[in-house]
Amino acid sequence: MEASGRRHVAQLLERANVARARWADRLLSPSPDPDHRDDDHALAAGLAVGDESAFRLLVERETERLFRICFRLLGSQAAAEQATAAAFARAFATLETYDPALRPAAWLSAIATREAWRHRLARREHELVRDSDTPWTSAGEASLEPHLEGAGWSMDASERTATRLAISSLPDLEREAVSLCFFGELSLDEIAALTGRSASDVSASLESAVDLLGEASSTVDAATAPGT
Amino acid sequence: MTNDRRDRSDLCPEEGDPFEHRFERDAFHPGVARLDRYLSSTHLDAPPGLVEDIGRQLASKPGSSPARRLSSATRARDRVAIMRTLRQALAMALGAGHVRPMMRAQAAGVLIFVLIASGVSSVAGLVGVHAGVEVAGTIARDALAAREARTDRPRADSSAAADRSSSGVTTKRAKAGQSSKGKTIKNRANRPETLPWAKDDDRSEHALKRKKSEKGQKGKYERLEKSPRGKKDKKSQKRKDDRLDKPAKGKKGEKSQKRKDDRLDKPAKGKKDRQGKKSVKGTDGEDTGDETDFEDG
Repeated sequence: MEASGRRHVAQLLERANVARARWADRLLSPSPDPDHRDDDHALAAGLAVGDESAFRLLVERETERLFRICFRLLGSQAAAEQATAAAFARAFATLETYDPALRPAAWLSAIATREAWRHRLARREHELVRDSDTPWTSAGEASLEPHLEGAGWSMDASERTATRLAISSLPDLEREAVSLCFFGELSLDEIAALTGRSASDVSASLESAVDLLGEASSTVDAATAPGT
Repeated sequence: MTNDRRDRSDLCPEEGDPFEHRFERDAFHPGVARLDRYLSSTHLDAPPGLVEDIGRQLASKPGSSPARRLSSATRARDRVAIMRTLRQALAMALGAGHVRPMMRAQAAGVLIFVLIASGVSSVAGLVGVHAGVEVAGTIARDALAAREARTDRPRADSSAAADRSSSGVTTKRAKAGQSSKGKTIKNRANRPETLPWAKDDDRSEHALKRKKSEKGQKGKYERLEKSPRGKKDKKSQKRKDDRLDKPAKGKKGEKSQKRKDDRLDKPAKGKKDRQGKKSVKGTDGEDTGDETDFEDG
């Protein structure tokens, strides 16, 4: 009994350390892949002068990431595809508004987040839920780190839907901050530059959003607990 | 997380903590944990062919900059799109929206280009119309001159002669030294009015003479035109006929015949007289009777 309790505590500590390392890396490095920084400068220079070949390169590089952002906000593969295409079209049409001081990926993430939300407003929730029931590739599941497999990190469909609904019910500023920070993997400065707010304001919005999500999750946990 | 922050801030202690504005999250916060789980469970790969689809969709979209949009709209010959692009460019040039200065400059450039192009096309159209009118006038003048040359042969001859003389070719008359002024026709280039050292007076004199001669020539032609040859010929023919007709009536013929007869008769007498006189003079005594008769009468 004592041994199993120690093993459980050790598991919790290991999970906490892994999570801490992941979030520290994600928050402290503006670009998730440092090798792409030089490419980012070249891309930004190309986009600043309206170079369409640079935009094509950006499409090839960022489609996957934008698709994931849209999927996390919409929960449907078909809707995410449409929203991704619409986001790229909007970015292409407003290429003159691109600020070369920003990473192209960050600029695109902001556009994709807004486009996905627009798409979600245009469709009813039950349509999105119905679409999300379609079978989808589990490449993400397979790419999870092996030590996290079977440790209760993955969600089932109902929990995913509940989380998505909880994110959707957040106020606009909080939802935008959470989407850009967690799904778009942007830093606070980048979010502040893209939303025209101060970094501290964005930080406060994030804290508020996380608190709201935590409250919602504790409510859900309490409701789904076996004893209740 | 705190360890990581400390480690990184130690790398550049004099600048302080560069990440103090970053969002500090507790991994054990229930909200963060929930988001983490949601992220890991929705880590999907994009469906195959999505990049190609997006590329295909973007290929049919208008360009990003005002110039590209205008060119694509012009290529598509879509008037609405052209007008929309121009309106957007105007708004952009006037400062609407969050647009980079380079793009504003490009929008202004597009507007200026369109204005200049429309102005140039209108001016070119006017010039074209003027040129067309000039060409048409020249053609009409040439045609009239050619018609005049055909109708007035002498004038054409004279002009041809003038051409020959101007080109340095001497006519037969000139070769023979029978020019109208008794001089050989000189080359037009050697005329005093065309010589560079000639005085202005000389030039003006010659110009006046030439004008007068041209006027005279012109008047002549005008007169000829006013009284065509056919009429003149008819009149002269009539007169001729009249003259020919008169003797045919016999009046003049009779008279002349009479006179002829008289003349024929008279010399016969005169001959006799002369003969008689001669004879008197030659025979002494016969012709004296006549003289006596006259003296008698």
